[in-house]
Formats: sequence, C-alpha cells, structure tokens
Amino acid sequence: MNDLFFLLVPVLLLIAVVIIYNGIVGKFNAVDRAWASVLTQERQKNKIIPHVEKLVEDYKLHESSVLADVTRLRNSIAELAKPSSAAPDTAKLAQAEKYTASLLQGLKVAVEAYPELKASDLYLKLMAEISEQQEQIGAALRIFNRNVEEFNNAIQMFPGSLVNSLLNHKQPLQSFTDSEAQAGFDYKPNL
Amino acid sequence: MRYNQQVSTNIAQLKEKIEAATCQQDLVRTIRSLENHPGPLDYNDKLWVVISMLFLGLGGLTLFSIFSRSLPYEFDYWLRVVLIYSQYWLPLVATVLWQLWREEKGKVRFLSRHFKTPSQRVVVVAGVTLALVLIPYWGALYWGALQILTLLVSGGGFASSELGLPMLLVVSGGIIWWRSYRRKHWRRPLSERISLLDILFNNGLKALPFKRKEKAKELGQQFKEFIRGNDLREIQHLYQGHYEGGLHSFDYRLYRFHYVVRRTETYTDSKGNTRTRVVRNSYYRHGLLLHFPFARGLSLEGGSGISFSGEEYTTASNEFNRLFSVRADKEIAAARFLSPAVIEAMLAMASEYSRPVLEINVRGDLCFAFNNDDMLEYKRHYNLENPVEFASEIAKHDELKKLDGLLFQMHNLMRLTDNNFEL
Repeated sequence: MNDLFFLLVPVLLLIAVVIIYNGIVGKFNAVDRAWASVLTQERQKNKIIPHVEKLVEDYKLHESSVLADVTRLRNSIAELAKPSSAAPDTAKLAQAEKYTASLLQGLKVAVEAYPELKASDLYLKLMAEISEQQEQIGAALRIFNRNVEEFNNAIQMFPGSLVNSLLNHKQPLQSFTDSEAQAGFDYKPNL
Repeated sequence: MRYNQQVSTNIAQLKEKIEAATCQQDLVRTIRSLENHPGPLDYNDKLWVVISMLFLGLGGLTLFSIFSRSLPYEFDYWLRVVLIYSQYWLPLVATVLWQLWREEKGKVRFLSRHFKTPSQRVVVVAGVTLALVLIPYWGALYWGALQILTLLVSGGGFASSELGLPMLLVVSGGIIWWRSYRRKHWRRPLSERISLLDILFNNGLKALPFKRKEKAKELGQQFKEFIRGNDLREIQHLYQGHYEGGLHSFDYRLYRFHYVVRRTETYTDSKGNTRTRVVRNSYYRHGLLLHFPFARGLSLEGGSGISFSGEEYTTASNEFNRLFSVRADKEIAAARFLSPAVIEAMLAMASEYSRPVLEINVRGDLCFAFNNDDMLEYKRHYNLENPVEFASEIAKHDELKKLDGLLFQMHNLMRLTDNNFEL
C-alpha cells in the first residue's frame, strides 16, 4: 500500500506539472492568436481604401487632406503586415489607429465643404464600414487584453508561477492601451 | 340547474368575444362589458362543494382510522356503519350528481320527453337508483365491484374494499372539489388569456396555426435543436412577428418546444423485489427562427447537451471557447462569421440566455434556442375579478423588453456580418 502511495504521488505531481505547463503554452498561443486577430481586423481597412479613393475622384476632393491620410493609412497597414519580434508590436497598431482617426477627421471636414457628399450613398456606406471596422478592432483588442490577463494570471499565480520559473520561462505580457486616450487623464494607475 | 346553465352560456359568450378580438380595443371593450353585465356570472356549486367535503372528510377519516387505529371506538364504529351503508347512499348520491351534471350540460333528451322539470327528472333518477340498490344481491355486487376496482387501480397489488372505498371517496371528493374550485375561479385563466392576447397585439405578434407534433418534426428536419429526447416532441406555441431595424428588417417566429426523455429505471418494491419502471421527464426550450442570409452551415452550442457535426473551430477568445463549441460545414464559414465583435455579442448573449444554441442551416435559416421562459413575460396586478382596473391595465401599451432585446441582438449579428458595400 505504502509503495503504491509513493509511486502514485510523483505520478500525480508529474501529471499536474504537465497540465500546468501545457496550460501556460496554450494561453500564450491564445494571446498570439488574439493579437493576430487584431492585426487581421486592422488590415481589413485595406477594403475601404479603394472606396475612399473613388470618393475623392467622384467629388474632386484633391485639395483636401483625405488623399494624404489614405496614403499614410495604407503604409501603416503595410507596416503591420511585416513580421516583427515575437512580442506584439502595439506601437505599429497605435500608429495605424491614429491614421484612421485622421482619415475620419479629414472626411468629416470634406463633408462640411461638400454638403452633397453627406447624402451620397457611397459616403454613408463608407462611414458605416469604418465605424464597424473600428468596432471590430475594439472587440479584438478587448479579447486580446482578456487573453493577456489570463496568460499573466497563469504565470504569476501559484502553482503556475513555480512551473513557469522552472520550465516555461515566460515573461508577463502588456495589455494594449491607447496612449492618446490615456493622455487625456491626469490619473495614472501605479501598475 | 338552469342558473348554472346560464352562467356557462354567459362565460362561453365572453370567451368567444375574447377569441374573436382583433385589437386591444376589442379586449378592453369586452372587459368593460363585465362592469354592467346582467349576469349571472358565478356558478352556484354549494351542493357540489358540500358533497366533496363530505367525501373527503369521510374518506380521510376512514384511512386515518385504518392506518393509525387511534380513533375512539364509538366514533370508529359509527364510521364503519356509515361506510357499510354506502352500498345504498353512495350510488344514490352518485346518480343524483350525474343527473345534475347532465341537466347543466343539457343532455336530458330522453328523460325530458316524459318529465318536464329538472326536479322531476332528478327525483326519477334517484327513485330508479333506490329501486336498484334494494334488489337482492345488490350488496354482493357493490362490494365485489369495489374489490375489482381496487385491484385494477393498485395494478393487481391488493383487493380490499375496506381500503378501496375510502380511497374512492377521497379521489372522487378531490375531483369534485377541484371542479368546483376551477368553476369558482374561471376568471383567472380567462384573464391570463386576455393578457397574452393583449401582449401579442401590442408587440405585433400573431399566433400561427400548426399541428404540434408535425411542426416539431418539420423543424427537426431543418435544425438539430429539435432532435432532443426519445419520446414526445411537440411545438406548443408559435408566434410570428416582424422586426424593423435600422439596417435590416426581418420576419421571425417565436416558439416553445416541449420534449420528453423516457428512461427505464430499476427500483426495489416494499417486498424487496427488484422491479423496473418507465420514467418520463419533460423539458422545454424556447427560441427564435428567422432567415439569416449572411452565414450558412454552422452551429454554436452553449452547453445544451446536443452535439453537432462538421469541422470544429475555435476562436481567438479563450472565454468564448470555454462557453461555446463551434462546428461548421466549412471552417471558413465559421471564421467569417465569428469576427471579434460577433464573439463579444455572443458572449453577451451567453450571459443572458441559459444553454444557448445558435444554428444556421445550409439554407441560411437561423434558430437561436435557449432555456429561458420569459420572452412573453408580462406582469399584471389585476384580473377579471376587478374589471375596471383590469381594463385600464390592458389599455396600456406593454412592450416585451426581453423579446425586443433579443431581436436587437439578432439585428446586431446581421449588421456585423453583412457587407456594407452590398446593402
């Protein structure tokens, strides 16, 4: 009986360690996938660029900043597609988001100068698409942040912290924060 | 007798008016008509109630006496005397009640040819019964019949008229009391029916005609959600409505599905023998059916206990993957449908609906099913017992907030999965 006990305890411990180890790996991969999903959504903006260009062409918006914003957005999306280090490059994403905001602002200014644009079918569809894409990116980021939280909990809470320090050697990941939005607050949590 | 007949006629007329209502105003008018109704609208069932109480009291006391044997001897003696003489009074009471019931239902064609008034007919029936119970061997016939009845009811377990008679009295007393209670409170179920019709009118819902089992079978050919249980499957309610959203408008059907799981279980009886019995458990599911042209051939199962076929798909959300099991005819269909915003929408729905299933078949028809039974929930403070207050309550516009919320969520799924440039 005693022999069986001494054999059973290490076997159970080994199984537990394997489960925790795999759990950490799985959660890290989930973060990776969630980040890929964020980038996929950001790249979806490529879909709107031809429509914006058509809008510029149809309504002769050449003098407005819209075309310049489109170019900058296109470049930043192309930048996102380039492979980077293993850690999520949130700076590139923030840049693309900044250019999207700038494009939206440019379109709004153009609407003020060209009232007939506001009623155009293409403009309405374009705005609906941009707003939906922003919603998708927001959702993708929230999913990413939730996965980051789960991963960080897995490597920082006991017994995951023990298994991670001995075997996985993973570092805690940073969740995505909007630096521009953060700049609007005086308060900063001491995280 | 004629009085109760008149009550039944009045209530039937009221029900007809309610069922014929085509709008809320019709319902309010019908309720208000009760304020100055000439009547009568309340049954006179005093005799039935007294008899039910006597049956229940007599049967209950006898059973108590048999099992506890603690009643005083004199009381127990007289109780048994009353029961022994039941061979005379019980058939008499039963036939008189039966005749009263026939009088109320108007089923007295044969007797009415010879006897004009209801009282005459009751006296005749009582007289014939009395003559019957006084014939020789009636007692043997009566007690023998009671023994056979006990044997049949107990499933062959025992044949004792000593136990059978009080049980018969308790059961028949209970049935008579229940009938009287329901007749006394006839306004309550009718008020619920009015409330339901009102809520349907207010929310543009229409009850669809359908055959319960056939409809469940038909839906089972379209959605796996309806292939549950191994016994009865039936659709109990089916309402049709229309939703007008900001981007999309669609027709939908709201249903209630009932299914039964039959299983055989073994048990040990009082004699220690192992026996088997069939147990049937009823379950209910509710949901929405609509056409969803933006996705095909996929299912999201949220712990309702059915397994779908197709390719398995997991999303980028750990939380979603824990709550839903996704299967699709083609993986790409699931990948396209489950965008981040849709995942979040589904997570929100999973927190609101118990054991949800979202199924979109190859024809692009969607079924969203769950266990919650509150889509048509409405709270009323009054009923037909207070017609003035009830009429003003019904006259208000009541929206089904939960149903509206669900339809908004369906519209949201459409908005997130459509192509903005093809609208």
